[in-house]
Amino acid sequence: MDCKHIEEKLPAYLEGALPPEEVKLVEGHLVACPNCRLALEHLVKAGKLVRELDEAEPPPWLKQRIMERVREERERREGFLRRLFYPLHIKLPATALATVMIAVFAVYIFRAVEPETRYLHQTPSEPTTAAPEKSVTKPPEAIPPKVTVPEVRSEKSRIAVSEADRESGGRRILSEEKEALPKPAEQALAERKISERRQAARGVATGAEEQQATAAKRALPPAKKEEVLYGAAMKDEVQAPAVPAKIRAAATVRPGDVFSLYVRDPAAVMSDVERVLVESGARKVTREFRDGTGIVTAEIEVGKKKEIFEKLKSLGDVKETRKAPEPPAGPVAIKIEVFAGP
Amino acid sequence: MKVFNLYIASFLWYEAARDSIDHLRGTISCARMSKTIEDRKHALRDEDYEIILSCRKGDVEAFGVLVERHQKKMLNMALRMTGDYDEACEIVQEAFLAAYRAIRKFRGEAKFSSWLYGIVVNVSKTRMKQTAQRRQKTVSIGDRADGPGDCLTGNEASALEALEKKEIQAKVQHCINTLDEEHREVLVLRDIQGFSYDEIADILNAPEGTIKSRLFRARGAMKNCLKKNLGEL
Repeated sequence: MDCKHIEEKLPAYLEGALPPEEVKLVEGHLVACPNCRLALEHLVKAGKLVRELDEAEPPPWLKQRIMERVREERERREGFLRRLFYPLHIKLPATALATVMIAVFAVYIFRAVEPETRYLHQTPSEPTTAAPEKSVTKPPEAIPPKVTVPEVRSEKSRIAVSEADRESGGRRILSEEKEALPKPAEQALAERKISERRQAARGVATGAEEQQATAAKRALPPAKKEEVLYGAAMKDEVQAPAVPAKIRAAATVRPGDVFSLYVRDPAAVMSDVERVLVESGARKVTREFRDGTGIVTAEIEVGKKKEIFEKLKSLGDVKETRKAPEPPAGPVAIKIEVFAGP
Repeated sequence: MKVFNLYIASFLWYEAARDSIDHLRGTISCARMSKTIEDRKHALRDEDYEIILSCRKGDVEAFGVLVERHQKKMLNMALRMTGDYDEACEIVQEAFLAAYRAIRKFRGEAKFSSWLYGIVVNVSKTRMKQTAQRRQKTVSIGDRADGPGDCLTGNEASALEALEKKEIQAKVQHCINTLDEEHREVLVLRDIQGFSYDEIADILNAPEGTIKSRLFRARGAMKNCLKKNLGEL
């Protein structure tokens, strides 16, 4: 191996990085070659010169300058992040959107609970019966004070309103009745249809009794069916506020027959008709006289119907205008219309 | 009925959300636990790790501690790489700024100092290329009137000896400047800064054998250069 190759291996030899066989080879050459020994000496000295290079001290301002630039960098980055996430043009729409969503949700909730809250507002105890007679236009023939107008209401009204509710809501219903009375039958029918639709939408079960009444009503001629069956009092039902399903379910009186009594002086016979009913054990007897025609309504037991019919024959000419399906037992409503006739 | 449906839907949504949150909490706590163990390992082998965590949390002043701790070594590395004190100061600033920007990317696979010195080497090489393109003439340490001579210890017995030493060091730096880039960096890191081969491998991200090979060539080249410039060593 010549000197050039040995000189190339000298740095590794000094570092101790040569394999043992090469170390022996290099050392053997160094013993015999003064030039390579000098090269090794120069290599050691050069290394020493490099290692002895003085260390430079950083200038005092270096750290200060670095920290200034770092702080600037941080501010720049935070400014960017702030612009990215909290700029006005993003925050405002987000707030507006949130407000709109809350409003929509509130409206939805309100609409969802509206029917229930409406009942809650209507059912609280209102003033009791409170002389309903005042609100009714009385005929010149003095109606006995014991007859109360709420009982003039139709059978359907009685079904819809329980005893307790009738007492509490009587005055309000009557005041509305006054407004409803002059309305034509067609308008009342339209209002009633709307009312029925609302009830169906609320999912209120009206009961088999109402279905029966509706079926019977359909059987009559359209022109008369509302007034004949329920008279003006039916408008009470149309105008009356919706009644909760629980209260409706509590009603037990079924709609009954309608008798037409033809007499010479209807006004004079009204008291007799009422007496006949009371004698037959009728309850909640009401009477009304208007335009020469009287209407007496009451609740009777099913079995008393024939007895009443026979007794009415003694007063005048009696016809069964409408025959309702007869329940096996229990109270039924009856309506006697007194007309002037031969 | 609608209210009831709404209530049921809200309840189901709430239950689902609660399950998701519980699951997420479990995942986060596991991740935190493993992260804590990993942090302890790093803290044991890297004295800078706690400060790095503070920096990641946005504590700028903690970064000042890192600057104080590493600026001198970084400056000398850059100085010996470039041979220019002012340029070395610029390189140190740039390297620290780059480290601050990328401190979240530091994964702790090597020591922070190795990662930081690697940045200095890369910035030095980049700036040296830019400088070489920009100007033909480079200012060496020996040419500077107010260069790192201010930093010399001044323990010399006489001004003559100090001047002689300054001249010798300028020639040594001149020889370093003549080395190839890859030879220069290993010579600076090993013979001037005194890093171990493992540390150099981390800094340069190169195998140890390659580093040694380059170092031996660099030393031979330095011997030849110094013999040529100084005459008798």
